Amino acid sequence: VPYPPPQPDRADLRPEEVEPYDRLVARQAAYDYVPFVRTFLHSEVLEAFPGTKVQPYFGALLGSPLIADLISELGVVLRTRGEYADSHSQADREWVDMVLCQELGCNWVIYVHAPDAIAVGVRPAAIQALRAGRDDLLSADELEKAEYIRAVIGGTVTEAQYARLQAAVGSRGAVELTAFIGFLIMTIRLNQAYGVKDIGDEALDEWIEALAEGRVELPDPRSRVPTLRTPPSPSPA
Amino acid sequence: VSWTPPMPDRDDVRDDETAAYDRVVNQQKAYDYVPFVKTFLHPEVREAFPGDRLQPYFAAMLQSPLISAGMSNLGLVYRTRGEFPDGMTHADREWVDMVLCDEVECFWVLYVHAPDAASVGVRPEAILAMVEGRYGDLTPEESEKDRFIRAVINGTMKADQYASMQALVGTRAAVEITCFTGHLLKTMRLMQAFGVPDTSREHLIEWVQAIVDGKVAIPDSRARVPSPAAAAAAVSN
Repeated sequence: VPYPPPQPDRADLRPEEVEPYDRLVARQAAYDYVPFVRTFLHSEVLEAFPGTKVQPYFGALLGSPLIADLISELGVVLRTRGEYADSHSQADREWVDMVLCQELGCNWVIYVHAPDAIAVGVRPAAIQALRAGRDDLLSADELEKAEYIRAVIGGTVTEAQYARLQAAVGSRGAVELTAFIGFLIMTIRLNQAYGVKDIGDEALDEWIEALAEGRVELPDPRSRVPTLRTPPSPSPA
Repeated sequence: VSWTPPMPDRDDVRDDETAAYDRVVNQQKAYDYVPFVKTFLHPEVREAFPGDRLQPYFAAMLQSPLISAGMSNLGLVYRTRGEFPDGMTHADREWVDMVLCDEVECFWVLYVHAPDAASVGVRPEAILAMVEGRYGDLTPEESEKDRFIRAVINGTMKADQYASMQALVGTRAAVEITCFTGHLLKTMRLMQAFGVPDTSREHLIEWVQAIVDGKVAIPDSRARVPSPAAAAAAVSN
């Protein structure tokens, strides 16, 4: 039995699934990861994130194209929230990636997102502190948000904690950042359930060290902020 | 104690978000929960699930209508996969609800879904055994699915476990059960983070016992299954 479940052949789809399937493939290609993955120092990351084709996670999800397309589109929406003044920042979103993947044990997503995170303002030293389990080296704001992210993962958010997040990022920002945390919990657990191959600690720490020392070219901070589809139209009466 | 962010006024929603806002409100209304919630034995469940208006979770998510619409659309699609012979059955979908809510201790969702679960073929005695911690009383198939769902939640899936599920339910259904588990994990953690009030395990057990004893009217098994065409249209829009 192939594991992760392979991307189905387009010819095997039901008619109503072809358009969502094509849309997902095009959307993933539009991120244009080919030059980006060439900067990787460890070839094993390419198994989970090849850059040249749909990554195995989305390949597996395409076993049910309507679901895959909606999940992928929701990712687009979440990536664009930091473009609005009343939401959280792009750095907050990437910080969620760093903290959550460390917490759930998914190294390859940290590897792939760390350059984007640094490009939008996350401190390389903060990522290194997370990796080393050194919360004492985080700034007050980084620590507060890290503890909030961990609380969402564990289902232990308190009223006071939520109020502090609201004070930091606004009412809408708090909802959107929380929604992104939930979305990423789903994403990482699905990657693990579908058997997407992870990388080891040593490779990840070498990569972050290279990023911290400026030995890796960072992507343009705008390069992974996609364009939204036309907003949904009203449901028919 | 609840700190759930309130539903925003439609007039305060950005122009590009009003269609999504309206769609979420209409989709949720269409499930018609008013007569259903009258059967509840414990009034506190209506704080999380009032039936006569949008539930607090979706109201909070409407602070960001595009995100809310994406999640609501996903729910719509998941509910229709059991209409296809190779998809996740309705009973398997409801079993995911039961097991996941037990694992992450979100009792009110289990409470609300237990009658639907019974209506589509989940054994009420299995639900009762689970909420009472008598996992040994599950059938081998219930137990295998129980362990699979918990493995997705906890990131502990193994290749042979995935292969066994695939052999049991088919390739597509295995993908769908897995991603529905991820979707629901996200949903429960967001509800908990937004402070949606819960009921107690004691009241949950009383409710499930009442279902086992035939004292609760079980809804029509089609009551919460939208049409697959509507689901496909929601994705395309």
